[in-house]
Amino acid sequence: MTVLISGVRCTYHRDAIPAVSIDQLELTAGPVGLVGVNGAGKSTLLRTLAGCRQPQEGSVSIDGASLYGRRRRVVAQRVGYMPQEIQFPGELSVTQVVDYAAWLRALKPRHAAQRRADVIVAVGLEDRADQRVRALSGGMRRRLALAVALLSEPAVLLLDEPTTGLDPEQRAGVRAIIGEIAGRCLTIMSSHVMEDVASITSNVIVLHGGRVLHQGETDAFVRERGGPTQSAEVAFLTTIAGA
Amino acid sequence: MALRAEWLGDRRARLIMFAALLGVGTASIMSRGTRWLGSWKLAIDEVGGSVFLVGPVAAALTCAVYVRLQQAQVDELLSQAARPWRGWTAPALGVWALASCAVGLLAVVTTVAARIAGATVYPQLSWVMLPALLVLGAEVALGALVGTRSQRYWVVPWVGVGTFLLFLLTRFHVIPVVFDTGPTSGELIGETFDPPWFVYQSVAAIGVATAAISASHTHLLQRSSVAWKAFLCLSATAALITLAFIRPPVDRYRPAPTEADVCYPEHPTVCMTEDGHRPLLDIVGKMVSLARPLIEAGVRLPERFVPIESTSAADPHTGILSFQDDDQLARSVDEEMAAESLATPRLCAAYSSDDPRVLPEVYFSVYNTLVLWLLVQAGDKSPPTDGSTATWWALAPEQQYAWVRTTYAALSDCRLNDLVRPQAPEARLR
Repeated sequence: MTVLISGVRCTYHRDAIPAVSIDQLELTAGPVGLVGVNGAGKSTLLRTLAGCRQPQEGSVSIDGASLYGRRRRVVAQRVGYMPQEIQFPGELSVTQVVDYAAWLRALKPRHAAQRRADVIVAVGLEDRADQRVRALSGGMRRRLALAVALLSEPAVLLLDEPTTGLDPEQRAGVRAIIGEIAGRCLTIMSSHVMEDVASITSNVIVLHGGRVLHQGETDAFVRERGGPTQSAEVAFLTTIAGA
Repeated sequence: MALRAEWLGDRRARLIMFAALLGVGTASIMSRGTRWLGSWKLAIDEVGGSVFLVGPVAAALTCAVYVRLQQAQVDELLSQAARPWRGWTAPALGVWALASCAVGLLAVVTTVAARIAGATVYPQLSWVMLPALLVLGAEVALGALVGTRSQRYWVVPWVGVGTFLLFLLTRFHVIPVVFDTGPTSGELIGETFDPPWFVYQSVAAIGVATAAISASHTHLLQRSSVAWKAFLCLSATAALITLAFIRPPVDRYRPAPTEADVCYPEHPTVCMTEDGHRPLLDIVGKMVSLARPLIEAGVRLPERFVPIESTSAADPHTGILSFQDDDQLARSVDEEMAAESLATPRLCAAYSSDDPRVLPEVYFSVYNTLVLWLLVQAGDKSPPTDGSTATWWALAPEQQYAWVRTTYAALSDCRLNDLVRPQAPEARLR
């Protein structure tokens, strides 16, 4: 599985500084941690990789097939995306949300029913399948969003700040699920929480001002830049400070 | 295409929405009473007309749904969908379907009620509901547009007000007829719906609907299917051409092709047009009863009485039924209407002449006296005890017959200048 980003420029307003500007980036092995300060371009890059936001310039391809080309619909089906913030209708049950997402994804009914059961189990919500969204905790809602992202059996899984806003217990729960899933597909996870990145990912990309500041193995990143305490946070701050 | 209701709330919320739409539709239809019971065409026209209230409510509800959708930040989810445009338009389609069901239910109830009340059914005119539902769709699409763009709940009531304003502007001919769904203030008897007017409205409404829903999310529109883009271009172009270059027909209604008469063979025979004959039996009963003194007086009644719009009204042996306001739609009429009808044994040219001098002044007092005489004979009114004709009124009916016969013959032959006021024999002597 290879995700190739070539000459990508994403701007929000005409003539504005690009939110993302990447000449060449190849992602083959995961899980990949995408880190950066607020406004570094993490979410924009993930949206672009998800097929939600066509870049003004450049191309994104998955195993050689362009994400924004003629076969966009087929290629995008291989990508699962968990946005940073999404609020499903509170009155729907977990099952109904997954059904709705399956309809959006145009899964065939029989396949959708099977996938629904699989993803609900995968995120550990099988006991809450009939519970309404409004009755779920923050952590459970994140897991539901993750279930939706997993519906189409993605080859590439994009997670935008999956643990943000969760308490330590919930974070640990979500982290454990991601860790389990991450081995099955190329997972790219953005996060502010360096502890999460260090514990889940094998590769890390540091984004700054929309550009790639560092790309490499997570262990080496922490070892080389993490100072005497071998802290991922210190490694990140050292990298940013050098920019 | 499956309808999705995920963003319309739970079952209870959807039921409340449906009840609200049904409620305003019912209020609109009932605001002018139950006159529509007398005519199937009028009943379905009233239902179509109810869109002037159902539409704004549906638009406001759609606006609320799209504000919710935007605030839930589901753009990414939709953008990733295999068919993002379908996901985006599903809530609007849901509200439209709900409102259409409410209007459809009202159509069934009112037309069945009109049928039970005795109105002739014209199923071939059911198509008139389609343009009304398209206008409803245009209003729903405008609600989606404003809701998406504003992302504020406070705009919701203003969307309702604004959509209602569009109806008013259409009604007052400030903007083209797109949002005018009726209903008529007339009776629609002897009239029918004018298809070119509705085609014009439908094309314009589809154009407004597709343009509004497309403008609501241009980013997702780019991801829509080629078929939708082609449909959008086609409908927008057709709407633009229609609104810019085609002059809309003047009215929604046009005279109906010859309507058959429904006759009740009593003496006198009374006939009414097929599309509005609800009070026929009541009229017949009252006219038969009131005509007895005329027959006793030796008057020759016309062969039949018909409404003025009936094709046989110009027949020299045909009397005219004097309907006022909504008489033709009501279950019953008053005795005065029946008496006035009996006192009009022929449709004279002078009645509709532009020159007021053609109709002699004496006609009015003679006509009123004859109507009063009929009502006095039936015991519904008392004769006047003063005035120039008081002495004549004091005579026995047999002595009044001569004037009645002469007057009726003159009215039947349209010899209006031969009419004279009644006078007692001694007054004539003096």
